[in-house]
Amino acid sequence: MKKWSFIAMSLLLVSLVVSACGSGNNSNSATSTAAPSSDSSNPAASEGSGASASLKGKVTFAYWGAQSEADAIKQAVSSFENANPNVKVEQQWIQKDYLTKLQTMIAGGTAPDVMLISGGDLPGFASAFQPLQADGSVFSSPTLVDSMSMDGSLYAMPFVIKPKVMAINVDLFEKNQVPLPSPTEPMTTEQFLDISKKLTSGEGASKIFGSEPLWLGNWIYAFGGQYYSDDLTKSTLDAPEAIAAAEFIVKTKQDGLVPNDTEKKGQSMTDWFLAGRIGMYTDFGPWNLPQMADVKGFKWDLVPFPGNGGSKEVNGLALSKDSKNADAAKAFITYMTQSEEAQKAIGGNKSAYGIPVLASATGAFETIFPDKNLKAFVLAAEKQHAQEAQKRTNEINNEMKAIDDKTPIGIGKQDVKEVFPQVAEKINKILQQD
Amino acid sequence: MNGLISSIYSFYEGMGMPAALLPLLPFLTLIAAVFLAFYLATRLLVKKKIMHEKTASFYRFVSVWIVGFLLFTVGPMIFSIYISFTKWEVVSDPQWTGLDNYRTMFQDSLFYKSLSVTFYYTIVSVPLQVVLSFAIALLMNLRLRGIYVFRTIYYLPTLVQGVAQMVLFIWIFNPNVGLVNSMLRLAGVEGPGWFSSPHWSMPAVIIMSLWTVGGNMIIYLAGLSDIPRSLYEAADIDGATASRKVWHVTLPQISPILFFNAVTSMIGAFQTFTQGFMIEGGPDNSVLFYAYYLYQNAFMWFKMGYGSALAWVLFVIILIFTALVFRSSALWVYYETDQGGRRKRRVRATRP
Amino acid sequence: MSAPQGRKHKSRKWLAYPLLFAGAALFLYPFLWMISASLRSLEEIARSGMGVWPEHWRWSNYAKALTVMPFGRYLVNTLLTTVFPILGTVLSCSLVGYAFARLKVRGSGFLFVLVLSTMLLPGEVTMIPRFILFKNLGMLDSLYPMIVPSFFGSAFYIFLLRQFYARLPVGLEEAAIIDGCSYFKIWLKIFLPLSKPALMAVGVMVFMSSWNSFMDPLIYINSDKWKTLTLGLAGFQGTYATDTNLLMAAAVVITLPCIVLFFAAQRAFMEGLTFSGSKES
Repeated sequence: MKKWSFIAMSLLLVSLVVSACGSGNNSNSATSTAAPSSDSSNPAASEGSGASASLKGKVTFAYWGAQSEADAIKQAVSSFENANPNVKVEQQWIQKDYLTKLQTMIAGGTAPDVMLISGGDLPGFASAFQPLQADGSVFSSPTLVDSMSMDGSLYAMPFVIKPKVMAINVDLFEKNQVPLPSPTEPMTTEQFLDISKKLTSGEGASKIFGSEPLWLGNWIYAFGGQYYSDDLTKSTLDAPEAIAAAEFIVKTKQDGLVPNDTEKKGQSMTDWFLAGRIGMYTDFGPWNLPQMADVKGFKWDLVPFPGNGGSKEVNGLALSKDSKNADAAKAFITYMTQSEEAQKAIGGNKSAYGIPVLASATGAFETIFPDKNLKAFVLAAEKQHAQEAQKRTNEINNEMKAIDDKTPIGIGKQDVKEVFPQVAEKINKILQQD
Repeated sequence: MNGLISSIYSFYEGMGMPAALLPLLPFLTLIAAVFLAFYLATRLLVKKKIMHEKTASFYRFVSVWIVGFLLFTVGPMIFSIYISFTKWEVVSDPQWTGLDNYRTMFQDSLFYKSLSVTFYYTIVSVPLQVVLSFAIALLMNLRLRGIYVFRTIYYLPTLVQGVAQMVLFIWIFNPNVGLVNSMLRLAGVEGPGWFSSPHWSMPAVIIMSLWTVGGNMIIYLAGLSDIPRSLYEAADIDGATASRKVWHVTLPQISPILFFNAVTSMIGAFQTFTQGFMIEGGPDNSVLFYAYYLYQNAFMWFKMGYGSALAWVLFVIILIFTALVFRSSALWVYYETDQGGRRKRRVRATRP
Repeated sequence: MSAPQGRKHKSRKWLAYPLLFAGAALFLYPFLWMISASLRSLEEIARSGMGVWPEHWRWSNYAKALTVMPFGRYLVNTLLTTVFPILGTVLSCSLVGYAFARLKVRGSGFLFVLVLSTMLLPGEVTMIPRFILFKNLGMLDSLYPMIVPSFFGSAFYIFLLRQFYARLPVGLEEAAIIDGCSYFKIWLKIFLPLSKPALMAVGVMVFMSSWNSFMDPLIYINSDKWKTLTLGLAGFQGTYATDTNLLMAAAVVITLPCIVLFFAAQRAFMEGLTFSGSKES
């Protein structure tokens, strides 16, 4: 008899477990009983940056970024909290695996109210966001709203623009008697190669390099290529332009114009540039600006990316569709993206790490270093190729590891002409899953 | 959250319980109810003289484990088998796909890669660890002055575990300025790229695993001290040299511990995760440990169905290998209770 | 292992010392390396080669490392996920181990084999469903998934404590039974206190595995406010990969409590380890 009760108990438990697992997938029922689901036609989103005493509670906000970016964001957030004393913003600075963490939080029902999202990753996450309303005219360009929209709805409010330019060590140019590049016209890729050769000198631990290891993500555009076809359904890594870019990168390594894998291991290339060991730093984004104060005694300036390469990244703030405090969250988003204080904190003063999206704040950006060609960033923000958006960026990035593993761009030895089509095929398989 | 749970949750929330405690309360309530029911049921059975008090007490106490077993082991295992036959991305419902996941697995080059990486590590590292820790234990067993200091020093590395250990060794194996290559440079050798080279990153992980052999050393030391002196004295009388004594007395006596250690180390090696995670699979996936590949599939790409299938395949592999090692133990493990004892088969020629 | 006195013994002794010292250097060096890198500036690290003695002792590295990551918060979280599991494991495994050791009833043999068999199960098999389970229980992004299961016993420690209790004298509880004491009280008042050394060993082992546990916090925790030290260090490695000195400082800080515990409770450590390796008695 005792065995019977024991068995009965276990059956009870197993059924409890199975039922618990079975019915929990769809709804985040706790949130639906606690808070009303926010309506997307709330006009508060398109107002100016009004402080409101009626807003209260907590807003959770997740973002990624380097130290300089986090510092700037924290500044903007505290100015919001000052203007809205009843609202507390709980910040989650996620330093590693941002997209994975976001996905896990969304899957687990613990998504933050507001999430920083890059335009390139937006499609994979749009299903977790609420559409927002915005008056596009406050932004510096209509394309900003487009880059954050899908199927006609705006899923994240444009927040900051991060184009790429090239930083140059002016002293090195002068020392090697190389004429300085144009501040407004991008140099060609052949000119880049040529100048790199002239700037490279020395051996061993004191060797000075023309440039840092080039990144395909920037240079593919310099050669007129892209990652995907215009309709984003196919990978175009096997196109001749992409392969030309890859071969160019390999050439710079083989000619010793950039540090090789051993030399660069565990080293920060930005630090090397600041120390004067790199002549032209091509992966220069606005988040590097605060560090330029650490430049060790040489003149530097900014010029456009060679071949109009590089891509501009637009980041936006998205609102979780399960947010429990949508009113405060929306006000927060509006403030961060459309108030001068917040936009200047991230893009108009010494802590700036990007170009503001707010038209009225863009002018402040160029004044950060008045004697440097910050206009190069502004021009890039207009002209550069926008980042390409995909849904399964995590999985796709994993396939792209093969570029580093198998070709001389990284540690491999196979010909890029062979590997790139293989990678393109694998990516196409992933794209076909949806 | 499941409907039942969330209603209990809202109940407590309405009562104003602190937010940090809220996630615990629904679970606590349900579990308390279950145990209470069980307790009352056993009390009833005892009252009706169907069950002894002793039996009731036993089952009440052991039910603590049984509940946990059902809830955290059996239930999940059953669910895991089920999901392995579905395609499930968590935010949507599971879709039954039959054997698809297993079919995909057999065509997945990364599956094979992660298996070969894990095997490579297990087959090389485990025997090396066992042999090395045993050899060190023999050394530590000598009655020398200050041996306790040495024992402590050899044990200390085991205190640096997991993430911290990997962080340290990524630095130690840095090709430019790391400890290992600096040492090699002193000897006039240009060290390899270690974690930036596809051929040398796994050897680096294996070397790293040897740093912590001190842990097993302690286990062997305890075992060595259990060996009866009389056996050695008998060997002395027969005129055995030190090495013969090790071969014919020490090894057989300690073989059960060696065996147990080999099995647990092997099972642990199959499940290595942190090393793979910290360097994201290593250059060209040379350190793509199976457990990390599983994690990638389940928690980075949200392919829960495929991840579950991978988990079961791992389980089966571990079972097979454990069974193999168990069967092989008949050849080399000596138990005191064996009738007449089964000594090691091969007897080496006498060494001068 | 005792050896015969005489010339043979002496020569082996002299061979042993160099080996011991060489090995000790090999084992100790990475430690010293870690500590020394944590006290240096980046460029000093770049040029120091094999040297271990820092030129200036930059304690500021520690200050920086501990402020850049919210160390205090991580420490509290790690303590919570260490202390509570110790408590839970000790109580539950002692109770269950006692039951298996001293309450011989029908079915206990079978159940015990079942307990032992769970030791063979790799965590990966239950990892995904447990994630879903905790999701349904509303415990995601909290410390509870790491704490709650420990209160339900764990096969290895149940086995360990069962062995311990089984070896205690047979008639120990007879007097109490005759007096009509409940078995629970017998456990609480007699057996639990008697097993202090074993419990300490268990406590030490649970400490080490909880303090350094990585995969569970990785899966269950997302918010910074609940991260444990191991997660924090992994994140640190991601963002500050090139700031080796800060990384090493953080690694030292995380390892320090384990080292301190070891020196304070050496016997408990050793006992725990010998239990791990001992044959079934």
